[in-house]
Amino acid sequence: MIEKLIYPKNIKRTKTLRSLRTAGKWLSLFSAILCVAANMKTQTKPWSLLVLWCLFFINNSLLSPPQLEVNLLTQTNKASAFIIGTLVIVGVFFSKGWLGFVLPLVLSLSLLTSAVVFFLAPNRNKNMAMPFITELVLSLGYCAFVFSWTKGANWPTLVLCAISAVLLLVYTVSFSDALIRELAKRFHIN
Amino acid sequence: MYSQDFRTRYLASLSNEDFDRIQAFIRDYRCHLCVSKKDTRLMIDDALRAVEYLTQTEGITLEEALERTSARNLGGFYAHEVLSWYPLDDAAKIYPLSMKFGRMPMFRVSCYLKENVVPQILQLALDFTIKRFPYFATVVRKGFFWHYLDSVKRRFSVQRETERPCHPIRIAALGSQSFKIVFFQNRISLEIFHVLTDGTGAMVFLKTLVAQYLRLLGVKLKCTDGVFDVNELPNDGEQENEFKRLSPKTSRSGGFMGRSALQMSGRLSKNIPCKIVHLVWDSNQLVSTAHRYNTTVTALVLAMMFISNKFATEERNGAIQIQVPVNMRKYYETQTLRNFSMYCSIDIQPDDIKDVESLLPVIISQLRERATEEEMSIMMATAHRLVKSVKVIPLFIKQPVASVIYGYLGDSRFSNTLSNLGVISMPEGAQDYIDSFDFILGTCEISRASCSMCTYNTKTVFSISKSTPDASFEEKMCELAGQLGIDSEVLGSLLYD
Repeated sequence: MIEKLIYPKNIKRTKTLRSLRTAGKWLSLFSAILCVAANMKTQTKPWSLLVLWCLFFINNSLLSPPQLEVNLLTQTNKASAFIIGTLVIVGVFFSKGWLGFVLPLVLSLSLLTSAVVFFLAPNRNKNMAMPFITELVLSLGYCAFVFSWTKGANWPTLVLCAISAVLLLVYTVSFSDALIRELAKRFHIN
Repeated sequence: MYSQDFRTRYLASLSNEDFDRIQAFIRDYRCHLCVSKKDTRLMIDDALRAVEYLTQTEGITLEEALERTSARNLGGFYAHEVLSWYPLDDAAKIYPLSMKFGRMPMFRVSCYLKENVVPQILQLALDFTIKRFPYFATVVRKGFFWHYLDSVKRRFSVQRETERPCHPIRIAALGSQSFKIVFFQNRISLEIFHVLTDGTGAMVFLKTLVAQYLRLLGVKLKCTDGVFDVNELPNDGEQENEFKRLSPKTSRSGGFMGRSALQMSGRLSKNIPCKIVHLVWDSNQLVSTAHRYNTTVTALVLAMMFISNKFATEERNGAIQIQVPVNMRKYYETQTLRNFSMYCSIDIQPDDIKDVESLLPVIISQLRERATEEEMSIMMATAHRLVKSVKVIPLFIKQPVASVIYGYLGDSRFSNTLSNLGVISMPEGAQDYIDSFDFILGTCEISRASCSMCTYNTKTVFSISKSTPDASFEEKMCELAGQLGIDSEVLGSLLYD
């Protein structure tokens, strides 16, 4: 029917990748159901939580990746969130007594990593600093929680508190205008 | 795109006097650029490439070439800090919420020149034009309550066309573009994420870009007929969310609910769109045929679409519903370039679809009843109220709910769409260089075809983007046009299935 072709003939095909993604999604859904069922059947420790968390991360990163704001800062944040989430699950459900010590250390390391990534290109990153600000605020929130609920904080928590406070101060002082704009953008309701 | 030794090679080919002029030209360019080092280098090379083309291929003097490509045309856009951001207009808010991996509400407007596109001139034209449309120089970001558009200051590049039309744009990466300028042979196309604008706004951008391109090649064109002066300051009215400003205060609601529509029967392709078909008609023949039936061109084409839709399906249970976008700019005084359209639905039962002549009164009656200013304004007010009612709900709750609701309010309610951009005009003198325009809608998930139309000079291009290999619909359209005395030239793409 078409008398004249006016579009390129050699078009890139993405069928294989799409098929792999679809297969991966079904496989992860099946695995999730299977492991929860197995866990409930065996009535052991909730190891399926860990599996579900890992499957969620794989799904979010590879199978249904985000459509917006994929950059070094957000990906660093995501990786940190995964590691911290894993530690929390293990520390709460599998072995107790070390989480309060290890978690602030890991949070501190994660904050320092995000800070390095942020300050590598500050002029570019200041306009999308929300992941970094969120991490700082959450870290300070964790410290506040520990201080208010326990009799005394251990040294990793004190270190975390100090790092968060210093980084937040440095960011606020260096990029106060950008901070106000970033908050206005991220929380607008127009 | 450019090899690193281009500048070295080009500068080495110049005489001493020309070399000094070019060095002064480069220094002037640097003063206007405060982007990354890579973009600075590329933008200077863009200008030098254009100068090289103009002097060596077009044969103009270096002085004239430097005048045309002067850094003055960059304005302050690339030198200013990134400060602007824009909330989405009410119509645009749904698009990022309903976006999925590999599926993005896109459309394309294209201009066909009478000669092949010169990429280096097109690139420089884009470098100069984008500042006039700062709202397009943005990237979509996620807020806590709504998405928004954040300005980016970078070199926006043109690309040779290598993908399917309306292929999703990668907007996830840092500093990515929310639109694409692609070229293929004699065609310049703007593919755009619907979050930025509608067909009218996109056409203004394309016309301005093409006019700038032609000016760089020495064509004298005025800034009339919807072509903006790229060196003029953008008007604040162009960025207005008119849904917010102009929505009438009424408690009446309507326009969004409805039954599922009858769909064409073809198998859905995994690659969408899997085919693009253009039926090129003589606009004089089309208009005279419409007058013969005492109707409008839109109604005539809708009648043909209803018959072709019926022909393309074996189902008879339900109504064939065609969505017709209505440009609200014809009812309200506005300068906005953002989304400002509503839509109405024309629906007819398959058993009532017999021939063009019997369909026309039904279609005209429904258009008169449903595409009125009052109905469209009520729909606009409903949309605005809906947006207002959910504005304080966090995005992580709104997004999954919107995806589900979009499935009900989305394309399952329509068998097809007809978006008619009408007559495209360009300044006097442009017709010697421009052959035609066309307009392609992105395909939907469920409906098998999306149709669009525009007219330039004596050519009306009716475009169909298909999500099924089944060719019944477009073959019937062609046949009907022939029966009505409208000759069709059929252009298009391969089947990408």
